[in-house]
Amino acid sequence: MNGQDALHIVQWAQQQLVQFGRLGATRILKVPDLPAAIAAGANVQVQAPLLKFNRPGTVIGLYAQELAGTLPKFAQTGLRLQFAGDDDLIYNGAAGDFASLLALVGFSVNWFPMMRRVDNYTQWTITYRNQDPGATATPSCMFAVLEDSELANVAAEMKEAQARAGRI
Amino acid sequence: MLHQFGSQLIVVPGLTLAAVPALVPGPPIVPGIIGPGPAQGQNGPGTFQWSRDDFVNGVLVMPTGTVLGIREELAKLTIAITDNQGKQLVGDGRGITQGRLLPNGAMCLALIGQGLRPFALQAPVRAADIWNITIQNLHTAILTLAGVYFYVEKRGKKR
Repeated sequence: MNGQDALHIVQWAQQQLVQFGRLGATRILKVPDLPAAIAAGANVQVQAPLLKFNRPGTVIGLYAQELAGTLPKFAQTGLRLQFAGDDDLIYNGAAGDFASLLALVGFSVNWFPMMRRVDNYTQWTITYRNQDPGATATPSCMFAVLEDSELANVAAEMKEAQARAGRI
Repeated sequence: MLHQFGSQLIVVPGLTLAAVPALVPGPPIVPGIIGPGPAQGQNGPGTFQWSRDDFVNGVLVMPTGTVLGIREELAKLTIAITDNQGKQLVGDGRGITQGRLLPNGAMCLALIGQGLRPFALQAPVRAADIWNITIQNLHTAILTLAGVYFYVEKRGKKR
């Protein structure tokens, strides 16, 4: 399977996920938990243990939440995602920055769509931020991954779906 | 939703209307150390054996919402799934290390959302495949599950 075919399949799976909520990931990879809740404060930042990918694939979505589950906690808890080197998901024009969980996943706690290649040695750095001066925060973050080893299965599903839709 | 997600809804037996024991107050659970049994606020691992070839394209965990409300109960439940080959379909990817029996579960509110949609995990399964499913309760009181559901789609059949 060449690169263009693989990209087409990944984009189709991503489209299915966004439009219909079906298909998408072959794996959900969770960022290792923090050892303790983030202390209360106006700007308390804690770095999570490194997220290490161990199979090549494409990350197609980000999931995140705070343990309390309430809208205020989602608004007051932020996340920064650093890829290898100095590349950040969220950028303010000068440097990497945080975005609140509420901004990323919204009121309905949707996933945040992404399209990022990873391989066996990829490591991402996630940093959380608590902006609640009155309570601790316990955030979690996960990624939806479409692994290269599963592309053949997804390709078969794509062809079947297209056949059902009468496009083939 | 059922039409979009699959041609059939499979209910995981044994986890329906199951009370998930409360997290025992005391020292925090060390990440990665998840003991078996209810003492750790856990229901599982429950094994679910597939009875036919299928294609899973959605997973839904549904609490009853009687203690905190659906959204907040979802925020305090985690799910971990390991497939027939021991591969973590939902987990932290670090594998089985010394002292850990199960992968760390993923948070259900993040995966399912307030809209209560199944999270789109796709996996083909064969008859007799066994999945290990663990639901963990991070709240200090008992939460009750209404059920755990797999949305499946039979290959080759028209909807």
